[in-house]
Amino acid sequence: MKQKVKCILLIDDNEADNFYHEIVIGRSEFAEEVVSVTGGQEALEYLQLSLKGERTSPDLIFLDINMPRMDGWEFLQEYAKLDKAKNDRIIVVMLSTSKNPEYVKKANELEEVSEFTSKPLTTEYLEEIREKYFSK
Amino acid sequence: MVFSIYFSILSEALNIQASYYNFKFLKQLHHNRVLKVISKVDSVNEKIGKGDQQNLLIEALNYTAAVSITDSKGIITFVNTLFCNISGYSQNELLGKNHNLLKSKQHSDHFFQSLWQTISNGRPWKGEICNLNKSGEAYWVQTSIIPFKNKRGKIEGYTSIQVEITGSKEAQDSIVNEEQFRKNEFNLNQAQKIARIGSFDTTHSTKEIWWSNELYTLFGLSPDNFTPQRDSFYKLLHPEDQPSFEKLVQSLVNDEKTQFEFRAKHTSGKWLHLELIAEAKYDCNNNFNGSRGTMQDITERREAEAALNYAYNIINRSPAVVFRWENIQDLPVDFVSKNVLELTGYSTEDFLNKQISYDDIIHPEDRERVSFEVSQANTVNNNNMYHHEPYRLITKNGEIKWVLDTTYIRRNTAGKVMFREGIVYDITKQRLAEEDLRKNEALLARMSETAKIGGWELDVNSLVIDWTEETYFIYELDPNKKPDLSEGIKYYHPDDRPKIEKAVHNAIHLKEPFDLEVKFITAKGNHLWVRASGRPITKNGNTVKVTGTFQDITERKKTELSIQHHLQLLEQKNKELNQFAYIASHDLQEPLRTVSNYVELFNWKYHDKLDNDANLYLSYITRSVDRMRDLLHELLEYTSIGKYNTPPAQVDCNNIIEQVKNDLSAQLTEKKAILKIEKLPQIKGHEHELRSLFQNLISNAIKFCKPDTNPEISISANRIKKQWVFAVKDNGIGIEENYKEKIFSIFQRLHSQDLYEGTGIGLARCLKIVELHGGKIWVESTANEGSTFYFSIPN
Repeated sequence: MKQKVKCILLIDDNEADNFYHEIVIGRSEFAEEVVSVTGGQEALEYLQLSLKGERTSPDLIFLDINMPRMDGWEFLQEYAKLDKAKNDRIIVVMLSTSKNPEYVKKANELEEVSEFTSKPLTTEYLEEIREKYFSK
Repeated sequence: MVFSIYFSILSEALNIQASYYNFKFLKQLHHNRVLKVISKVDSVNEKIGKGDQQNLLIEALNYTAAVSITDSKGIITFVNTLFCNISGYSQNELLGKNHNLLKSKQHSDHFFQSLWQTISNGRPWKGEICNLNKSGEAYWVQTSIIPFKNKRGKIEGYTSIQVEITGSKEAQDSIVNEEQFRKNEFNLNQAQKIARIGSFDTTHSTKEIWWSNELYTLFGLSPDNFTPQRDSFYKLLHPEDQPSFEKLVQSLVNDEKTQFEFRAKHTSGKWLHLELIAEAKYDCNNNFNGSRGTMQDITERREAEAALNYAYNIINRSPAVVFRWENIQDLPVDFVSKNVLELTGYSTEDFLNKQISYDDIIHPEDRERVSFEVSQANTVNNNNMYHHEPYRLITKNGEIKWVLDTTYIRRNTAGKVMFREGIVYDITKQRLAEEDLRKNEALLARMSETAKIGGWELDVNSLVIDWTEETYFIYELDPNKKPDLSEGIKYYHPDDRPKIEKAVHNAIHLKEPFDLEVKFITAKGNHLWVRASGRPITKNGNTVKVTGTFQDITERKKTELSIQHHLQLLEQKNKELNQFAYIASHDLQEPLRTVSNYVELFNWKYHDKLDNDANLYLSYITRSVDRMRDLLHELLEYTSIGKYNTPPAQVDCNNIIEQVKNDLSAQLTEKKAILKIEKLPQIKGHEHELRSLFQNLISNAIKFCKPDTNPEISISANRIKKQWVFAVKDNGIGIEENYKEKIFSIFQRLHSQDLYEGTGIGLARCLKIVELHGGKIWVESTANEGSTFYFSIPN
């Protein structure tokens, strides 16, 4: 019996993707709860609420880069301003349509970002993540 | 009037006679009285009685001289008493008869011819004549014949005054005044000296030879050291001339008179040219009795003639033809040197015989001008020499020749043009050469005009610049202006002026050539681009001149700038297009991925609940979506070649192949492919792209294998010149000739998706990668046998 993470936060303006990823995560039996938001601003609001204990605090965030209004990079800037100690244990995985080398490079330079992968999420990839970060 | 003429006739006749024989009384008579000789004269002198004069004169003459008057044809119109007495004829017998009634055979025909020639030309004649009297006896008279003329100067008749000298030669001598004789002799000697004529007299019977003083002088001899005798004289003769001289002497016996030229030795050893005129002497019985005559030193004349001949020969061999033209309209020639034949094809004779006149051979187009120049020259009095502008002659065989003509006008003392002498010089060759030169110069000028290339030359000392016409044209300056260096530099654009100043400075001082493309503003304010080049010319290590070209390159520069501009524009557009392709392919992937995701989800969740048709439809959708994803992926890869500007690095191709082998291991195993890889070089390039290149070529080689055949792929590299040429050889289906180039175009596929799947981007990508590295890619192939893909990477 594999151990499930408590909560995964999906940040993507594409609802179809969010919905698909929820299904894939569900099939993988990876998390007890999956929260999806469609923009950086909403994600920040959710995180602020979770810091207050009003929402479940996520263990893993899948962050899309290309989003209207606030994109992934801008979200990360704001995210860095949140209470660091509490966010420390959150794994941020950046999602992109392609493995644009510029994005890969940029993502590697940011300490908040743990992984970078291209869409869609697959059960194999989720398994990798679970092995890497949540196997203890 | 008539009176005075007759007076002068007689007075002159008497004067001559008197001076010769010194008849003083006659002179007296002539001086003191006015004389009038009557023959047909009937005019009357008003002051002095006619009869007195007549009688006095006739009386006087009757004592001393025989007088006769004839008309112009020699018919006797008057004789005096003494004439009748001496001749033995009566007055009546003589009047109306020709004077030659008295002619003896003593004299040669030549003698009388020369007499007549003298007097018919209006000159008096004097000499000794032997006449025959009525009874046929010869008598000698010293004779003076004086022609007299009418108002118009035409000879009307002759007066003859004769004094008998027969048998009284010795007596005569005593009569003649000694002093006068000496004086005459002196005069004669003087005359001989001046003319360098010596006279001689030989007497056959006595073998006596008499020489005049001048004759001695001619030979450099004197009567003291030389006695003229036959033998001594012959010694002086030129040996070659002795035989002919002998002949001459013989001929005199028969010919009475002879003229002869011979050479004889001067005492100085120099050879003299002498002209001898001799006359036979006869005694009273008409027997040959020696000779008398003159010898004239014509050495100078002969030498001058020889010199003239020499000069004439030179002329005849030279291209300069000497002409003398009469001053008549069509320029008849009265002298022309022989070389006229070479110039015109007509001989000297053709011209002199007036078969052709000079005017005839002048080119019709030049004739008017030449004759105008001739007439112009005639009117200018102070300059007798003129040069024609070169004109053309047409030779006998129709050839055209250019000549230079320098002409001297010969005038008489009154200034009237008598004739012209010209030197006509053939300048056809020079003229043609000049024309060629002119043509070449014109061509060069036209060429430099067309090419807009001017020239310039700077004199370093004076800083004066010489410009060609085209340079002035580019400067838009007056060609008469002579520029100096500062003027030449002034017109450069202020931005570029320091450049040109430095270049000229360096050319002069460092001997560095230059070649600049700079901005320029013409004198009229037009903005140009010019190319100015310069090269120092040194002498003894110093720059003396700087010379170079000057070219208007505005058009070219404009084109260049426009090309540059377009290139930039093109590059930008290309970038934009790439960006567009990247974004398009990137963004298109998103919705596609969603489709793909949900089809997969659909399949997973509802596969068992759908009927077979629905599942088939879904499988088509899945395949299409996969294919579209591949296409987009490839397109994205294609557009991102060279997009990430990492500098090329040293890449080991052996490593790349190893990586590719790993990536393709599934395919390789599946098709049981055999890879033969030779040792490959290290090259400079982009690793990611090169890997993609090899991967594409190898996967193609695997993909396009013949059914039921194991792919055999060999990879090698050869260094050819300065580049590596790689070869990827397979044993596949091959490529038909028509498609060998087409396959490198994007989206170009030769096979259906069912037979060989693919996107049609792979080889286009290979081409793009090779070009990124500055190389080329091509294929050699035989259908059904295999293909070899070559690509070159410059080292």
